[in-house]
Amino acid sequence: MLRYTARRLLGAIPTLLVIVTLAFVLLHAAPGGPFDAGKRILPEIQKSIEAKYHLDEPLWRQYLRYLGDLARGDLGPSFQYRGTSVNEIIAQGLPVDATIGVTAIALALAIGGAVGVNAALRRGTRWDYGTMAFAVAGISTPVFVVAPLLILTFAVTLHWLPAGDWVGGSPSHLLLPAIALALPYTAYIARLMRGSTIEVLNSAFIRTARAKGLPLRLIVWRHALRPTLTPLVSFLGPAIAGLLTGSIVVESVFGLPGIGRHFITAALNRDYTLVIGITVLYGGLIILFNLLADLCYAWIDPRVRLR
Amino acid sequence: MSGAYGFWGQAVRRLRSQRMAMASGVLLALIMLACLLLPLLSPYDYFTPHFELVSRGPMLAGGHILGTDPLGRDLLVRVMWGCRISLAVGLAASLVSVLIGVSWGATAGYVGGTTDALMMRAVDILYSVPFVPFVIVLTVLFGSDLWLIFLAIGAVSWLDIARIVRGETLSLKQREFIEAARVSGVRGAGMIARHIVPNLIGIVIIYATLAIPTVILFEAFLSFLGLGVQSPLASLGSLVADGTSEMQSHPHLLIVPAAFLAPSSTASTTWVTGCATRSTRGTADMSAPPPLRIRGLSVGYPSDHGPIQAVREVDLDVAAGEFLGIVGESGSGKTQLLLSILGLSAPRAELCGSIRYREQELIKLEVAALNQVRGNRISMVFQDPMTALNPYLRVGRQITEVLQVHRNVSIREAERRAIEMLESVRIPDAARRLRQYPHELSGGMRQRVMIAMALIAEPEILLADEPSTALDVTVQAQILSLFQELRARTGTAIVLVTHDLGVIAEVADRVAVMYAGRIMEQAPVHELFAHPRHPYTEALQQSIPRIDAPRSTRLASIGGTPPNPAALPAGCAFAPRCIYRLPICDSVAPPLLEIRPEHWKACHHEGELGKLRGEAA
Repeated sequence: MLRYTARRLLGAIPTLLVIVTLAFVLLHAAPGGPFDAGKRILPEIQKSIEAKYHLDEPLWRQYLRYLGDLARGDLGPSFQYRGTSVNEIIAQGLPVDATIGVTAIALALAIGGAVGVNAALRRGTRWDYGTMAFAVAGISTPVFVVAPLLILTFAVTLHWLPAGDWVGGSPSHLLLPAIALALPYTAYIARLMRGSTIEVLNSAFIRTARAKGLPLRLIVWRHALRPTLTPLVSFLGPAIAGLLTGSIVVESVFGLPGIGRHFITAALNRDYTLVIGITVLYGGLIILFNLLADLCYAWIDPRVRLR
Repeated sequence: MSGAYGFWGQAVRRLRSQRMAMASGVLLALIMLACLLLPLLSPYDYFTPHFELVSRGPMLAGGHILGTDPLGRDLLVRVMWGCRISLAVGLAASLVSVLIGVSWGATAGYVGGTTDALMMRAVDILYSVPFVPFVIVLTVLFGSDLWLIFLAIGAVSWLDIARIVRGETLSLKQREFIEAARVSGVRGAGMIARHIVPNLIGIVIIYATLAIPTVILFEAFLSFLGLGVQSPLASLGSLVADGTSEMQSHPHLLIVPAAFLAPSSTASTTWVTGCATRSTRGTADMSAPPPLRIRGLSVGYPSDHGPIQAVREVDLDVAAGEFLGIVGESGSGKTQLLLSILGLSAPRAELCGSIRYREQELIKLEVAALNQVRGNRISMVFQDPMTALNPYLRVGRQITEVLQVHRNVSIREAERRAIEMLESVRIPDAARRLRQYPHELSGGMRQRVMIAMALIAEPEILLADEPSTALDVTVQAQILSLFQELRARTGTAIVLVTHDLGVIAEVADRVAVMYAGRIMEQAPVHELFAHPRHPYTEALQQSIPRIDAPRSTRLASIGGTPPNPAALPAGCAFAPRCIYRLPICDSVAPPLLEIRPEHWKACHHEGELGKLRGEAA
């Protein structure tokens, strides 16, 4: 298990390298630089700024310098927010995204799981059809439609909840963004859990359990639960990484101080270090959650051996 | 091209069975028609601002049914145009991703070897690349031209298609016509373009269709962030974004495009998944017998072609401690009979008649009461030990839980008994086996575990459904002798269901022969083998290979096929295949009658059999 984890982490290095290189090449191939976008600066001052950030060096040297810093965990200084490092920006924004993300996933698991299993147990009833209709609608309605509609309904019209802002993560401010982010996941998990519950309940080993005269509670909790969870685990790894996409929209609609909102302005302002830094962070998170999902998988299913 | 036809043929058939998908398809067609025609028919213009009509609500501004936008333009026309652009992006970007994916996948699959390994490794790495930030960076840096959006989205969404195409190509490569083309000198790119790609069209179209809604939503996502389609053009995403900024004062600007986007994307997802998924049908279950009196038992299932009678008016007793064999071809209803006894028939099954275990009527017993019988007084061993054990739980837990539920013993006591039980079914090193998972045991070992599990609560009756057919021949023999030995020691009655008359001859005391859901003949084993009275029994017996037969003797097989359970003949179900058939057999089903003590048969033919043997010799 430890060796497997270590090997996977080592294997992530080339992937991260590809991500850094792609981002680096793309940014430097683009027209414009961080300090020349229509700002009137004396040429000498511009020179000295560029020298300070090593932008006057040949590209390959800048690239190697960046990799060297990255290896030490230093993502460099931000160009648009002078005097602030990329590490600091991420350290400020990540807790916001993490709070909303964790709340959203928790909501999605609790509601989606309960609703999906319930639909499976009442297959063919109105409840089941209702759940599936909700699931399809929820999966295909994008976050950027749900989020403004939530604000319009609960903040603008009903005045029940605040329409945005962070306020140190107060629960009432957290609720709407988390719901908006959670909705597609809730719908997906409901559909997934319904499918896998039906499949497991039809399997031969559940029939054996029934033939042994076990009470329903034991059949569900001991025999059916774990096999039902395996598809969920393999969905959750990539899904948690995918939350980041949703959080860009949610941050911009609700005006939250997360990482995503920096990303677009950073790209617009050619803030090379910030763009690459955030991209590397996202890439790292995707790799990390995929690894966690595989580890969970092996933990749940005794037939899976990690080699 | 036959592959493509097969795909669409199946897709159409699946769609017909799914009304939701069908309705969604119709809705989508209407939306597409509307977004093509409405802008042409509407008197209002897409671009020209009308500052006297700014942001009017629906119905408030003359002919503007859905109101106007902040520049006084008709919102309906704007939304329809936005829809057109979204559609165009969806189609074009999917096309880009298909082009990249197909050429990548087909090349990797066709060339194979190191090239394939390297190309697929690249795909694996790209799966971990956070492509959303990359597309954002691309559109920010290089402007938001429409063609760039096509390219950018297409360039990040080809991975799935490449994988699928590679897999298909690998299997195509083995097929004869590709071999033939290779022999006639077609090579490399020519082979890929002319022979491989055309055969991939079916699967590629399916996956490209699946990709379109995703791509449209992705474009909408970009436009919502202001990075997609730029003003004065609009896509659904940018319309929602504009509406969001105005929602305090003019909520209709948000509601109209949102109300349009949400259902149309829901409809497209439903339609697309309707095309791509198979409809799932539940599989049939079965039921079983106990000192046990079964009277007039029928098990039926509803089906598209009317009800199917799996078991028909079966009368059967199981005496204490006896070894009863039930034989029949597959589909004769023997497994359904076993399953119905423990109430394990499929939920759709309709049972009538009576199954009495001692004082209890098992049919219609509540689950809680039935659970007092299941695994405790009557237990069951299933056919396939590979699937019948829970792969997620240790073997020990699966055995001990039976005792804990039915005998209320401590876990330590249960484990001690489980070890004893495993030893008695000849599993060596039983204490260690308890800690293992089913997949760590061989097939024969797993079936022994199943048997140990079934016997640990010392049931009065053990139902065994072809317990040895999934195992190899030597293990089969061991399992059968194990049954005999266990019965002798514990006095448990055993009901063994099998299609193998030879097995029954060796172990059973009494035999019931089933055909098309009915019992045809029932007799003590020696009587049945020495003097079969039913033509079907005779035919079965003749089809057992005999080691002492002269080598010139041909093995007899029963002519014809078993009847379709949905369309059983009015008379005797075996009549069409019977060489002793009488005129009455076609119209009247013979009742099961006791012709000698303990010997029952359901046949109109009264005379001696033996015709079959004469012919075969």
